[in-house]
Order: sequence, then C-alpha cells, then structure tokens
Amino acid sequence: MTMPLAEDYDADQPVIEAIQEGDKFAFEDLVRRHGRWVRSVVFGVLGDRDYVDDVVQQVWTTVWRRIGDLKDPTRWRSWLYRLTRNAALDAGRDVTRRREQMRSLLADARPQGAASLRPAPHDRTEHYDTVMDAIKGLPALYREPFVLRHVNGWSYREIAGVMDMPVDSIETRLVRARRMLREALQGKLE
Amino acid sequence: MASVDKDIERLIVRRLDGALTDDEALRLDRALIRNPEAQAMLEDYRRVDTLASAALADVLGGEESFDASTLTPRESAEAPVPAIYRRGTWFIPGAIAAALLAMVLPTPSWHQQDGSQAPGRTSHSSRFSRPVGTIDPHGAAPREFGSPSLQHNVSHLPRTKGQTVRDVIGVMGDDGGIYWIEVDRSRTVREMPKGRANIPLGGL
Repeated sequence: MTMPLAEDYDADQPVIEAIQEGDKFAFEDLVRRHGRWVRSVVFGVLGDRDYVDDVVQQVWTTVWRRIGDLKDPTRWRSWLYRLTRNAALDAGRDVTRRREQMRSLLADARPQGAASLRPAPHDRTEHYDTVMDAIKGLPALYREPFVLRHVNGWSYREIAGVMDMPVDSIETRLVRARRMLREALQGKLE
Repeated sequence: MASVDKDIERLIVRRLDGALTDDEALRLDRALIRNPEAQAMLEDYRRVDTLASAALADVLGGEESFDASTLTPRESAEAPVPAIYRRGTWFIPGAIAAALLAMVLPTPSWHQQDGSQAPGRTSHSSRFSRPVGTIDPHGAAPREFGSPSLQHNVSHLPRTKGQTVRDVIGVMGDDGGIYWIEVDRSRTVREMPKGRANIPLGGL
C-alpha cells in the first residue's frame, strides 16, 4: 500500500490553499520548490530534452488555471504528477507524429548519400551522449522513477507517493532500470 | 551477470539508494565477499548511477522559476458573480434603456376619483424601485379638464397636482459592484378637496 507523505503534504498545504485563492507569489514559491521534479517527470515520460521546457511551461500554466478544481489539497502532489504526466504524454504523441511527418518529408527530399541532418554534439562529452542515449532508451515506466530518484534524490516511498503506486513496484522498476542501463552501456564507457 | 541472485541484485540497488536495513546490509556484505560477480555488479551499478546523475543534472538541474506576472487572474479566484449578471452585458444597457424609456413615455392621466395612485404605478411596483420623496407642488398651476362651459363650481371637484417620484434602480455590474440609477418621473395626480372624501361619478 502506498502511504501518503503526510509531513510533506502538511508543509505545502497552506501554499496550495493560498494559490487556490489567487496568490501569485505562493505560486512562484511552489514552482521554485517543486519545479525540478515536475521537469523530471516530463523528461522521464518524453525521454527527450528538446521539448521539456515547453511542456513544463504548459504544465505550470495549467496548474494555475485548474488548481481551483483540486478538492483535496493534501493530495496536491499526486494531482500535479498526473497533470504533468498527461501533459507529457500528449506532447510525446504530438512529437512522434511530427517526427514521422518530418521523416517522410526528408526521405523524399534528401539526395542519395547525403549526411544525416542531426547536429553534431558540440559542448558535451562523449560519455554524456552515450549515457543520455541509454537513459532515453529505457521504457518510460522504468525511466520515470529512475529520473525522479537521480535528479531529486527521492526515496522509494516518496516516488511511490507521487506516482500513487506500491513501494515494491517502484523498487522493482529501479532495479530493472539499472539492469537495462548496465547492459546498454556495457563496453561503451571504456 | 546471470550468476548473481535477483535478491542480491535487489540488495545492491537498495544499498545504492540508501534503503538497506542493518540485516540486509549484513547479508549483502556476505554475498559480496563470496561472489565476485556481485561485487562487479555493485561497481557497475554505482558507475551507472554516477554517470546518470551527472548527465541528468546537466539536463534538468538549475533553479526553476516561473514569471507569474504573465498569469491572468483565475475565474475561481474572483468573487462569485450570479449567473444572470455573468452571462452577458445586456443587463446594464437594458436597465438604462428601460429607465430612459420611462422618462420619455407620456404620463397618462388617471381618472380615478379617490386620488389613489394608478394601478401599476405604485411606489412599490418594482423590487428595484422605491420612492425617495414627494415634491409638494404648492403654487403649481392646477390642470383643467373639460370644456370651459363645464367649469362652474369646481371647489368640490378633485384638484390636480404635480408629483415627482424618483425611482432608484440597482444594477449589479460584472465587477461585482452595485450601480444605482436614479430616475425622476413627474406626473399629475388628482387630489380630493378636504371634507369631500368621495364623489360619485354621476355627480360630475
């Protein structure tokens, strides 16, 4: 069973209630303190850095608009997680559709033997790209808790509380994520 | 890799995540001593964690901020406005038009003998209107009715007098405030002479 993180929820509840009454300063405070994990969720779902900023911006705008609908302020974190995840899933579908359209256009337009249009990495190390590719290659259900754990340093219980899942399931996913990353990076980091 | 027990693998991950209990730590340490592959797995997973944390911090790190000045006030954050006023802006112009119409329309002459106010023109005819005061028309020229040949002894006839009634109409605006529209209406009413409470119609 998932246990609610009562201590965290109580600390943030007045902030949530202030936002529900239209306090913009409280909203900025919420973004400052919780923006990182929201960003982690978006990246965890999308697996692509390029669209994270846009989706995160959209998430916070939606939060401001819809937080009045939140009936139980003690459950705001799960509410925010679901909202964030749905926004990221929608964006992911949109990105996939646009990529397929672009791919078909490029396939028609590109002359034989032309090089890939993907820009070369410039300011990051080779390991960075290798590791990021491996993380991107994880299925989203493993990538999400893995990113939440490594970006925010959350415990299993905190991750489970947000994702509204049993702690054991989170632990299992974290084990599998490591196993898959190890296999993906085997021999590539020498 | 295959020779590492799944339970040991779980303990390795729990150690990296800081979730090991004392008993589990003891079990893991024993397994690591006995099994070099478990030791290699721990080192590999530790390296994966280090590299992943660095890469993700590069991507997702930094101070998070949001310029709240770009946000528009939420509807739910405003004072609730009754639906009748929220649905459109017709109500205020409509009320003003009605008030102007009341001023422009000619005042009918009511031929009531008892001097009471005409039906539909009472001071409480509208829930939004109330009489503010009555102007005493002393000195106002009495209006004459009928041909001069019929104007003989008129002392017993009802006299007319001017009366001004101020209607005050309250309108709630979209911003939640109440706006008052005051309209003065002049009209002529009949006043019975003193001592002659009722005059039968046939007497005229």
